[in-house]
Amino acid sequence: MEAEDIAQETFLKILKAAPRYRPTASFRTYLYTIIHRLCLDIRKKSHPYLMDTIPDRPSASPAAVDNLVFKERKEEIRRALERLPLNQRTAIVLKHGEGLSYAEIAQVMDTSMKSVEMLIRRAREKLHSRLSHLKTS
Amino acid sequence: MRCKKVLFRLNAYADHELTGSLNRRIENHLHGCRMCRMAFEQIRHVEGFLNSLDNLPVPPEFADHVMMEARKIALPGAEKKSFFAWHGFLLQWLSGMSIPARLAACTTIILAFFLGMTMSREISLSGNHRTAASREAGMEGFEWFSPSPPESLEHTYMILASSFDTGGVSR
Repeated sequence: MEAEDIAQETFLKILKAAPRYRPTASFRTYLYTIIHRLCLDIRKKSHPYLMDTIPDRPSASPAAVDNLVFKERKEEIRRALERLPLNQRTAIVLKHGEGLSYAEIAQVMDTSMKSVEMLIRRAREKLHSRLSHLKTS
Repeated sequence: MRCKKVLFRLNAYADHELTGSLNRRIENHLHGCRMCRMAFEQIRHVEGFLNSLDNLPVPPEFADHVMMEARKIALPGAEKKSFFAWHGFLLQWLSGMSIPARLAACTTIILAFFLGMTMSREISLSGNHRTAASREAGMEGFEWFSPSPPESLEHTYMILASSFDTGGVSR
């Protein structure tokens, strides 16, 4: 199952649960809680998947080379992110990708704010050690 | 404030999760400690890496797929809703009336129901009677042509039809 399937499943779950929905937390937290649980369910069932297909041969123009370097850099960051343990990755993606606060992340992951702080700290330490050779743009 | 404690809370500080005196103490410490400042810069570097990642693009047909699946779920509910909405409307209409008016409305509805049933039964019976009469005349619906002139097409047809109906035709 891919990101698109998970996104679709999330919307359908929200639709099915709509009559029972009570706005006790923000809708965004509710949405990410459903996504988080779906991802955990899928991870339990899924098999490891192959990361990349062989890329097309790039053209030799300078712009294309720059573009390729930029793309490679992004891929390296993405791979470093994917190598993080699931809970650290979830916390860091919710923080950086979605801009959630520690309290919201704690609610989504059903844990404490202290745990979230620790997960984010460890995730950043690992990412820094793995990506220290890259220059910041 | 000691470096160990500052480094322990530095991520929360960088994410603006700290408030009050702790926030100020860390800020003051960073002004005077080069090592902790470097650790803070490292956090900002990692943030820079993560911010350079793009979100995955949503395929153009995604919304259509979701809506198609959503309709499958929503439609049975919508039918139920319209059924209950009709009852809801009737109840709401009745609840807005005084008790004698409610009784009168209910009586009228029940009388109209029985009147409708009786009338439909009468129509059905008279329809059956007419059909029997038509059969007796020879051909259903064609009794209107009975005063047709002899040797006309209608007259011949009426003779043939009545013969078939009584089983008296011979070829």
